[in-house]
Amino acid sequence: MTQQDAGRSSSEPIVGADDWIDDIVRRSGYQEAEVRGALAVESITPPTGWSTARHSLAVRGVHFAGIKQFRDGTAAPFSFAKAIQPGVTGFGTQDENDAGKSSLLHIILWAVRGRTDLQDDVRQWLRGVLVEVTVNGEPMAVVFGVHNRRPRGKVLLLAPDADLPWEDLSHLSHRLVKEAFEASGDAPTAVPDLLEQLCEALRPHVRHELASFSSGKDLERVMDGIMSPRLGFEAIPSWGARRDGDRIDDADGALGVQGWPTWSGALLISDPSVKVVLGEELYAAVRLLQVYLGSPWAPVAATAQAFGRHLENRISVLNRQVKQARTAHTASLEQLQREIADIDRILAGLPVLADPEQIRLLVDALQRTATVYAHANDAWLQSSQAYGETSRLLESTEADVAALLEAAHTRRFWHALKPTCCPRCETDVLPERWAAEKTGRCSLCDSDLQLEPDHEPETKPLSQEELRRLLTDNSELDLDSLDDLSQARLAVLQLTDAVKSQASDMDSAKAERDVAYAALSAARSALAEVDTLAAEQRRLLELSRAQLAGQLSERSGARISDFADQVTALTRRLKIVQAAETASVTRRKEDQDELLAQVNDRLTFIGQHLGVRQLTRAELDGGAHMKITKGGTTTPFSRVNDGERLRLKIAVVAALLRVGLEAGVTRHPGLLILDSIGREEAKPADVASMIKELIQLTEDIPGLQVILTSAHGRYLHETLDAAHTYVVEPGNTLW
Amino acid sequence: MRGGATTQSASRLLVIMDVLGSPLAGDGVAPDAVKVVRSLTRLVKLDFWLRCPDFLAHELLTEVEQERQPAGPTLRLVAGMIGGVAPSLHRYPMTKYLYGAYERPDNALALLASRKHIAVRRVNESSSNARRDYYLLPRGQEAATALQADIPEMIWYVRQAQAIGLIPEAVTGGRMRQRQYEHEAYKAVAAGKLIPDITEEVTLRAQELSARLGLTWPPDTQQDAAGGGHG
Repeated sequence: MTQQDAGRSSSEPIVGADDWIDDIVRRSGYQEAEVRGALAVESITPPTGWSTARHSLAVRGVHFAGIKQFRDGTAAPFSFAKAIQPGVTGFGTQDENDAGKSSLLHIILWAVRGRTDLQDDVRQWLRGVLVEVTVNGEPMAVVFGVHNRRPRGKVLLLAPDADLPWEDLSHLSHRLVKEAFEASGDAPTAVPDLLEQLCEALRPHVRHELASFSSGKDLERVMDGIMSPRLGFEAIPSWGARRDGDRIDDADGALGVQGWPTWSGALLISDPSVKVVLGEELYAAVRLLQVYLGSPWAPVAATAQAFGRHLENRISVLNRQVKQARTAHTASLEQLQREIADIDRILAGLPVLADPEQIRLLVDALQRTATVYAHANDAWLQSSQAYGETSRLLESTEADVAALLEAAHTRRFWHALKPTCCPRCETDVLPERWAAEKTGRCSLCDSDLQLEPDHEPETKPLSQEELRRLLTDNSELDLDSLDDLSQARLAVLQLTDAVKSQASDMDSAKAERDVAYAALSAARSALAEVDTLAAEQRRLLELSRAQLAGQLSERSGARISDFADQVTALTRRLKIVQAAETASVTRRKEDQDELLAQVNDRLTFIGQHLGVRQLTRAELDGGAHMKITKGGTTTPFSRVNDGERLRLKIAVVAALLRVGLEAGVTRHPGLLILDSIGREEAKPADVASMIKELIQLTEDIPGLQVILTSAHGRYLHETLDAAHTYVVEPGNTLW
Repeated sequence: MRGGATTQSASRLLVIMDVLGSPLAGDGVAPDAVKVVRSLTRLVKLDFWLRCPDFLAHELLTEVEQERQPAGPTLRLVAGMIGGVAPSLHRYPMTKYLYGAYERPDNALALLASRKHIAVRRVNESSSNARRDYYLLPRGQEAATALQADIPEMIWYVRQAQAIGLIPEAVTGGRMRQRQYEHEAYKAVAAGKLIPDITEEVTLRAQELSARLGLTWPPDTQQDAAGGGHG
């Protein structure tokens, strides 16, 4: 929503004006409620009716002072003052141009309009301005000091019987300016006290201070505020199309407001070569005519037109935004899709093993095979340790067998040998001792021989078959029943079996370990083969793909549809506003056509009186075009000569005033300012007759005041009395 | 006793005296004696080498290194002593005392003496600590021959005894003791403790020596090597 909408959106729907609303409903095709709401939002409200209040504006006097700069570098203080009477007042020189005539009028208009076309150098010279006006009979003084072209001053409401001492004021200003000038010896001297001194001098006549201002714009604002309501003008929204070079499209422009500074343009006729019937600005003529004709529908139509243009502009801006957004959107979508496609292509080209999932699987496989291998290796080590231990035990048991056999064999050998002497004393064994051995007594020591090795055979060791049978018997073995050798051999048998079985266990454990190792190696080399660079690349690519996909889904085009929704809403409203404009224009035209017919009758009559030769008909239309019929030939306003154009322009104002007076409507405040009349006359003497006609007009039309300048000072003297003339001597400037 | 049954020890001592005893011809002390082993020390030290093939192999490698014995046959001899199951079957470890490896041989000697196989004489009969010499008598000589014939296991000990004869120090007890002490592991054993098995160390040494000499290890034992010893 624009700021303007926000400011107006609280408006209540339009109430009443049923005929007008029906017309708009019919023209737009929308429901009445929507129409009333939309018009309220756009502040397009029906008029309350014709204004019949009488408005008048007149100038009662002018005073200004400053320091004139000459081309030769010298400077001189100046001060001018003149009281201005109702009727026609003429300021004249004796055939001198560039003598301050136009500046005088522009100084008056600066104070009246708040805006000025005053020449820059003159503006630079000015130090103080005072203009007295009456608005609807109320006297006011616009007084300001000028410093560096910039006005600063007040608008004062004067007493009804105020009679300003123009001569004294002029002398006061002159003295102040002169003192300041002489004190500094420099031209652009400020005269700071001037405004205060003038205000002081006015004080006895002042009832109230209406406003103060401190700049040119400020003065314009203040005068608009004072004049518009008092003279029955309203501020009308206007659409200013941007100049061709700068504008983006037909709808480009800016919404403005037209008020007193615009309407007051119709007060001045300074240059008849400007081919507009009212005022001096081409684009403002139609609007001026509508405003001055005073149809209550004119402001409504103007408002509808301005807001309609404004809506068109906003729609156009939105459409541009939609277009831009759509282009950007499409471009960025395509870009995103392209990037995603690129990534997909690269991803497809990457080795499959670089897939992180694959790597994870490979790492899992590596961990799994490593664990399996570790277990298999442990089992193998344990089985080989068991095998080694059993083998060593077998070895030592076999050694025991060998030692037992050796012992048995040596024992048998030695026992077979009879002792022949005592090993201690080497005494030979006696024969009776030998005989004693047969009775179980030792031949050496006579002790009882428990075991006679010679006669009692050693316990017969069990054969291998018997031993094996013992083992397979499952019968309980009684170790004590076995001789040492059989015990040892039995152990050897068992150990041999154990070693065999453990060797087999060890072999299968080793085989299992070898298988596990092969799996581990395979897993290890599979992982080693993975291109980790590609894996990293894949990871990054997949990351950015995810990001791009996220962006892609974000671009849902919400903004575009938001814009599009606004365009739809504003287009509906535009249609209503345009319908309102048409409905209002129709009504305005009906009003105007009737008035224009009266204006045209008066216009022709006044034109004829003002000296437009052979004029049979002047026909002004609602578009501010005028057709002039002279001697049977009709020509457009632009084709007549400047002198005729001046007369016709004066005639338009006079006709408007006259019809207004008669019909009780129209809004011209009655002040007409004409610059340099006679300039365009082929016969200068015609100036006199025109002034006479003007005087007649001011007599015929109450409230009409004409202030004019002319270089033909003598014709002013001829036609105007002293109170209404200010003509300088030949060779002099006005001020 | 570590050395096995008394009859086993007696058998070994008989082999020692037969193979390594010095021949005699009419000795005054024992007129019938045919050979003599002088001093208990020598007898015990000879028994140590006979019972511990690993230490004997170690000394034989030293002999090869010091070029007192030919490499090929000696290494084959060594391979027979430390390879296969031989060491475990024929190793009867000895305890070390302050004077080195020792085991009292009295019972075995008594057995031999009672059969008039040997005669034990002191060099000076009046002194209780005079040197004892051990004389092999003719009946002992016969018994030794019969032993080898009757008991095949004894051939192992005979060959070992012959191998001991290759070591120069084997001639006196003192020099043998000295040489046996040269081995670090032997030297390091505390008194009263069993002398350790050095088979692995000797095997490694034999490998290195073979490599150094450009010989294969284990060597081809087909020729004159002392085989397993028992069948």
